[in-house]
Amino acid sequence: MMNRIERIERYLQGKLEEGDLWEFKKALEVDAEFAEEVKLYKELLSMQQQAAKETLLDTMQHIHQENKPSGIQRFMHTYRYAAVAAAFALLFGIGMLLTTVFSGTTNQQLYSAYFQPEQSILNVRSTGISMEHTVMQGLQYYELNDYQAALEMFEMAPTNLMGKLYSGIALMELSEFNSAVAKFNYIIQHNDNLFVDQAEWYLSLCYLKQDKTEDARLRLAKIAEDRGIYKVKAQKLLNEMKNK
Amino acid sequence: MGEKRNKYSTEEFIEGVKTSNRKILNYIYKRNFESVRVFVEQRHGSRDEAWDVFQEGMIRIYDLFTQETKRQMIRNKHTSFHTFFIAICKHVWLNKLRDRGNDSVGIYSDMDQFGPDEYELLEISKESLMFRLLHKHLNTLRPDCQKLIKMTIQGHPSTIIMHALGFISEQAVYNKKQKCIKRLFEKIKNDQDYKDYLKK
Repeated sequence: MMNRIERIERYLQGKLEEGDLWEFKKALEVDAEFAEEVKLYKELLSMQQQAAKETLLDTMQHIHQENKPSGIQRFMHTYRYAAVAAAFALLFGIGMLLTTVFSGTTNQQLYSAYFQPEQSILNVRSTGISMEHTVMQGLQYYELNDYQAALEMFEMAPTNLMGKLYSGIALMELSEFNSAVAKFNYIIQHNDNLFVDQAEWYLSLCYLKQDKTEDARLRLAKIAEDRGIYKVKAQKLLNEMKNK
Repeated sequence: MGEKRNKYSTEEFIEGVKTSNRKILNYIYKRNFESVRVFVEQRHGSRDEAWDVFQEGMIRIYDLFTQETKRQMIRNKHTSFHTFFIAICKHVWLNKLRDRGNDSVGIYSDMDQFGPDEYELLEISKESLMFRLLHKHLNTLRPDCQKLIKMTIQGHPSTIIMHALGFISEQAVYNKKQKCIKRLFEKIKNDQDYKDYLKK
């Protein structure tokens, strides 16, 4: 049996048989929602004739994105308390886990113990957030653990640092550590943003997973010296690495 | 239109909008978006809604600029491009509020500032709304769906789409297209502006 979209398409192409055509026209009269779908489909097809208008909206969209306050600025303003609280909760939980579980472990075991995917920003927000739409979409896929789709969306906002961070973590989930390292290095080299702490931490974990122990150690030592939110975790992980 | 304080003339605005000239569009955005945002946010709206309103205003301007009679009507008006554009955006937002049954913010007194002869120019057509919604939600679909629907709209045959997007058969293209269009329509049906439009 044909679905609704298929029926509409065949109708517009003049391919409906007599019986189906009668049913179709009857549905148009009695089913307002169906009639609206037919209109939508016609509008969709007419977009071809309105390519100039589409170009206009695309150009405006780019201009709008360029002139938006950055996601980081809005994030700092609106969510910093929620983010810090979430980070501390995470820190505490992992700290408890580590003090009870480990002694004499491998890099892979340490990685498994410490790698905790970042909670999506969508989960710590209390009100609507305004960010690049594709990044928002990416975060939604990320939340659903659809990392490949999330990556595709983040790629559509190539300069968005929040997108870069979550791309990196998604790539870790997909075991693509070289690509993840590139994402985190981008954030760290950019430097002037909210995500450097997280990027350094996850970069250390990538090195750990890749058995680049010395690189991981150097990066963790730097985090342990700083005053960032991963300071305690980095110190604990360094101790664990010494006990191997 | 009086353009003394504008960087560009009316003719340049007309050509700029018709040809999507980035310099002109950038100027229009910088000169007007904040005013639209403030207007909308002061009347129960959000920044995102202000952006939707701004885009609908641009579509309206485009439609007017591409019709000779309307173009002439605009040339004959004694307001600047920006005043006229802002009036369109205000009209869009006030209509949306009215459609949502929100009459607690002095909508009707705001509406009074427009004379009856101006409504013809200010009125946003249903087609403009549909176009904006299709454009907006098409761009939020997964990239594979976006490409597939755009190629379909452009009239590419299934065989070309199959090879371009790596499908194994024309039937697979067809099945995927059905799913993508269904998803697109679901998104539009969940859009508040579409729901408001259906109430009319």
